[in-house]
This record gives sequence, C-alpha cells and structure tokens, in this order.
Amino acid sequence: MPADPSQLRTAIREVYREVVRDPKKGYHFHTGPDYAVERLGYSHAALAGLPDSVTGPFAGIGNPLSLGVPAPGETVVDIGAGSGMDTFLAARAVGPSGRVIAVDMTEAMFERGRENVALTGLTQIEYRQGFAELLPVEDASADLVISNGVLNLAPDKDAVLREAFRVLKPGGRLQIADIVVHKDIPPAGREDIAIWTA
Amino acid sequence: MLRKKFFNVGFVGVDVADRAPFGLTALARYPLFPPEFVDFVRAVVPADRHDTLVYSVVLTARNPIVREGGS
Repeated sequence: MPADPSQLRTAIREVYREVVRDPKKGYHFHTGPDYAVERLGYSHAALAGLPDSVTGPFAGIGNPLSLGVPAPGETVVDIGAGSGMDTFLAARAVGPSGRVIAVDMTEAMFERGRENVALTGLTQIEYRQGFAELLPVEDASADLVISNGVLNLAPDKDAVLREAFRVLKPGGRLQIADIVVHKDIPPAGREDIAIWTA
Repeated sequence: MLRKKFFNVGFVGVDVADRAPFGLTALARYPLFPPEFVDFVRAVVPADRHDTLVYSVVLTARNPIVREGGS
C-alpha cells in the first residue's frame, strides 16, 4: 500500500487516539512516566508534579530538553506535542512571562492537551491543532523549537525542518529527539503504511 | 545525511548530542516500528548489522543570527 500522506495521518491519529484513551492498555511501544525516567533520563522529581493525564500517554523516544531548558520569558514551540509532557516541562521553565505553543494534528491529543492546561493552570501554554509540515505559528516568533519522535512520522521531513526554521527567531534553537535509520530502508518498506504508523 | 537535511534548510551548529544504537528487539518497542517492520528488516538486512542499523538521536541546531549589513 503506498504511504499516502492523508492515509498516514489518519493511521497515526487512530494510534494516538487510542493511546490517549487508554495509555496503560499495553502497546508494543513504551508509554508513561516510568519509561521516561528509567529509559530516557527524565527527572523523576520533575515528572512527579505533573498529572497522569499529562505523563501517562507519553510515547517519546528521547529527552529533547536534556540539551537545555528554555529561559524564563522565552517562547517555545513543541511540534507534535501530544498530551504535553515536554510541553508542560517547558512551560514550567519559561514561567508565566513566557509562552509555549503546542502543536498537534491529532484531535484527541489536542483536546487532552487543552484539558491538561485547564487542570494545571499553566496558562502560558496554548494548544493549536495543525500539521508539522504547516505549523500554525508566526514567522520568527520562537526562541526554541522542540519535538520528540515526530519527524519520523512526517511524510515530508524536509517540510517539517523548513517550518521549524521559519518559526525560529534568528539565533533560536532547535532540539529534537528521534530515531534514524543508518541505512536507507528499501523502497518496499518506505511505501508500507503499516511500517510508518505502527 | 541527517545533518545535511538540517544544513539544507539553513540551520547552523547542527550537533548530535546523544546517539545510541538500537538492536532490532529494542526497536520493536517504539511506536514507529511495529513487529512487521522488525521482521521485514531482519529479513532484508545482514545479521551482523542488526544491532547498529538504527540509532536514537538527540540533536540540536540553530537558526543563524543575521547581522545587519552582513553577507
């Protein structure tokens, strides 16, 4: 089956809708705060203060904030924010004078994220629904762009990078965690939508 | 190749800060790579490369500072 972008997005939405609905269901991939602490090096103390609805659906593959946290007052864009674990950690760092724009294409993640903003009172977070390849974010507005396991899911990776570049201020930083394949996947693999989406 | 993608859109200071190899078994634990993919890779890639085919990376890059009057 060809990896049509719209089909790919639909498949990804279905997977992550289920992760939001039932993060402890048991997937072939890891989720949740224990995984984040034990395997990815997140601080247990930092995550302990976040509600389960933020940390439970986490399914990242690294810790982009391990490269540095944003300063108070800065603006952060989280591409593919999901339920928002990295988003909320960044929001604590920027404080009430800063801003975190959390972008996610998945309706369920978008809604969960907005609920989590209300739950935590971290009103410096603004969720926006949109695609990584077409970020609903103004030009040159961000000090820091982060993403965690999103680039791999994007059909057009170059477009995602162009958008990250566009929204960053001059001198702004990009910090991403992702998985890369050392050698090219054969064409048959690249075209299989099940391989893309899990 | 990964760095080149970042340089191509204008980023500078591209640095892979953390790079860890994944075995195929570990790879199967991540959302992007279902068991079907792992079986597929296992079948098409020589066994001696199974432990170093895929890497997790944490990467940083910067949007360059454009100085007024600079080129």
